[in-house]
Amino acid sequence: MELDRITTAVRPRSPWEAIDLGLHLARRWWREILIPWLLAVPALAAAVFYLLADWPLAAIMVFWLLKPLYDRIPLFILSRALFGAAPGWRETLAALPGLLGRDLPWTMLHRIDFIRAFNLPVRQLEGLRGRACHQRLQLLQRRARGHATALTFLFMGLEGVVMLSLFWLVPLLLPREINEDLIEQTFFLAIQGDVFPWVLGGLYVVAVVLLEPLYVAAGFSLYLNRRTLLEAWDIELSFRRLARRLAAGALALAVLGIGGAGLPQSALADGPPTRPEVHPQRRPFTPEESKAVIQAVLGAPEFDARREIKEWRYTGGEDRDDAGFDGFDFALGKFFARFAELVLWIGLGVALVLLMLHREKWLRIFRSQPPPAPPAAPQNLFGLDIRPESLPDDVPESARALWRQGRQREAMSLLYRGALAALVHRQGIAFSSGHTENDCLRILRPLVSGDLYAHFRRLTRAWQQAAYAHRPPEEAQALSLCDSWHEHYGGAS
Amino acid sequence: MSENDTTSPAGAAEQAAATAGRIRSEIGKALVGQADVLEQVLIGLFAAGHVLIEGVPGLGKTLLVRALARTFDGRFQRIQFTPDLMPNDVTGHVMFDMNSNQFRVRRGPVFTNLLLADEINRAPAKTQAALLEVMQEQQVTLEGKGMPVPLPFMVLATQNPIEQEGTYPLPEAQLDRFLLKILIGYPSEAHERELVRCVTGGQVGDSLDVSAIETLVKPGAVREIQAVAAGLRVDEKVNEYAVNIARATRDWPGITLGAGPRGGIALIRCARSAALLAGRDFVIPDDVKAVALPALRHRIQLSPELELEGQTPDQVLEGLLERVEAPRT
Repeated sequence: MELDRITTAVRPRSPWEAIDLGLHLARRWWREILIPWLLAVPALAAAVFYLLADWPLAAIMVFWLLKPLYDRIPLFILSRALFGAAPGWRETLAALPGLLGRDLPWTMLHRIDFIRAFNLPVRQLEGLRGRACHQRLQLLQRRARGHATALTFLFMGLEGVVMLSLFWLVPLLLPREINEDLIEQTFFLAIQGDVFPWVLGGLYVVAVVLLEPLYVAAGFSLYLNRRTLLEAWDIELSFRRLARRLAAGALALAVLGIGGAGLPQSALADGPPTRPEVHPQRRPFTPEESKAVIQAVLGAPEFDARREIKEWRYTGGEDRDDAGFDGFDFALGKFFARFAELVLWIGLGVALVLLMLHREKWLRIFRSQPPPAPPAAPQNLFGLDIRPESLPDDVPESARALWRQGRQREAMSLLYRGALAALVHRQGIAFSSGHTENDCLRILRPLVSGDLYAHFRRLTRAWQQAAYAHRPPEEAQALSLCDSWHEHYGGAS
Repeated sequence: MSENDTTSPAGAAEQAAATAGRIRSEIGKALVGQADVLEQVLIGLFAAGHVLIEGVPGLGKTLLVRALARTFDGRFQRIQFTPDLMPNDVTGHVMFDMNSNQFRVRRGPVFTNLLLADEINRAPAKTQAALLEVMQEQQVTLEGKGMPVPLPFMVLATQNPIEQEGTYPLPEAQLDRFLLKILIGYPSEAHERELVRCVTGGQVGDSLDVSAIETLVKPGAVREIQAVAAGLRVDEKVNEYAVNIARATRDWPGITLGAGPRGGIALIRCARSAALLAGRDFVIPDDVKAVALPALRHRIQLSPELELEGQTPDQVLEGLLERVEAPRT
């Protein structure tokens, strides 16, 4: 592998970014991929369906099983194109027999593999088999497995979407007059026993042709990203560039006849290629001196990057119970374990979201029920301002004054309002705005003394007459209500 | 604060209230344990409206109507609604008399003061509509000639809440024609004991005895009471309270269809009548609140969720009445 010739910017990426890069790669070399792909895959599908014409569902199954086989085509093209040697379609077609025929049984053995796109480069490009391959995969998969699995599920879903969309595309494009009947007919025809497998097969082949190169490219990119991280490709490339630059510098110096020894320290600095400083008199460092210099450099504040990281580490002994298992059964068991784990995690997530959404309901269970706080005394009841400060200091005296001025209705209103305010604020009686006068009387009856109730009842009747019949009470009655007001509702209100 | 202009002289109101009170206590002699129902039927009568009574059979509906008719010497008719009842069976028809060579009008049972339309939801819509038209217009049109029904005219329609098989439920628009929907329930134990004693004591069979009821007034007096009730003073705030209640039903959670303006009108008409029965010549918010349930329960439609939960219109309306601010002028 000639890393220098790589055509993408090599740097560590997040897995999603890597998948994105993969899709970009597929778009970048779509011409190179498309021709051999369109020549090979539909031909293969046609062959499979022709051979298994009596069992179309089996043909779909076989076509599905053969996926790792024809996935090699886009991978072959991409792996070369990435290093600047994109093969032409003739070249690819010429390579096809070797490409497809190689290691067919081995590939089929690993067909049920939910990170197929990620594993494919290891098997195809690195050519590893058996235990070596298993160990290599374990290393590579360590931090990429989740994303690779998600990628597979994503493309499975996309295949379904493409199939359904294509299924409905035909009726949608037809003119409206014939459309409705045709949709029904198409639908019933398509789901009838004889035709259905063929429709399904056709749609599936189209979906695979459209999506599979993207899937392979995304998996390949994930694989590349993992190797970039593990093998520090970016650093290696930097060093290679550096070495090239220095070689050029050394050549120039040699030509000028100025002998130099040792690598100048300033050349390590990241900057534009400048002519290195050279001290001809300096002799090479001894190993001890080198060590001291290195220690001094490492002791500089630039290298004193410390971070405090807290994490859980397993400190127990080796506890591997999968030792001795290998191969298909192991992979299948692991897959189901992974799948179950995924389902459980999703379930946990859903449960957490539901708990969050319904927190009002269940939090109530844990909340110790505080004694219900007495409701704050209302300030306004039935449109009357019953705040104590809104009332005059001496309610009955003010009422009397109003009465004398001929404003009898206002006088009764003030008396009634004062009484309500006193009952609400002093006696803590809870009236609500929906309570009518008689409701207030009913509420009051069991709560207060008979005298107070009788007085409030007389007051209510007088008030009702004044308010609704527009007939103020007799003067004597009104004044007696004023006189006895303090006695029942206290001094100043 | 505004006044209603049609105030009646206090004396007339007092007299009308006294007569109404006497009628109530007179019927109370025969009808045991249904004081609320009696009160509401009288509110309907004095407000010149019609009432729909819902309850299982055998709770004294016929007795109530007969006793009521007797107190004011009114005519009483009863129609048992059945699926084959025709509109003509209710309103009457014109027939050719061979002897006199003339068309003769045969008046239907609707020409009466009090009409008990038993199980109104058993008759087909056409027959129901014929009766509801008479209720609204207070006249019957036979051969293009309008014939007024005698006044006071009041229909007391009943329906059975349980047997819904083979019935024609009244549509909302027709339910709206009834001023009140009264729910009649079983009497309390003490009342029921008294009832059994009264009905069986020295009586052959189980026919209803209203002979103890005295005729107190003439039908004209009932019309006078209606006129007095219609003229009782309603303060602007009380009017506003009734309208607020009716309007609140329209956007109240759990009510899909609220009461129309007729709901507010019904509230005030009934409140006036209730004030008269309470011996007052003016209406207070309590009168409105007291009649709100019977006046509105058939004018609202609950949302399906609440109906599935088994909530009744009464429960929803009670919640609503708690929240609508009562006036204090």
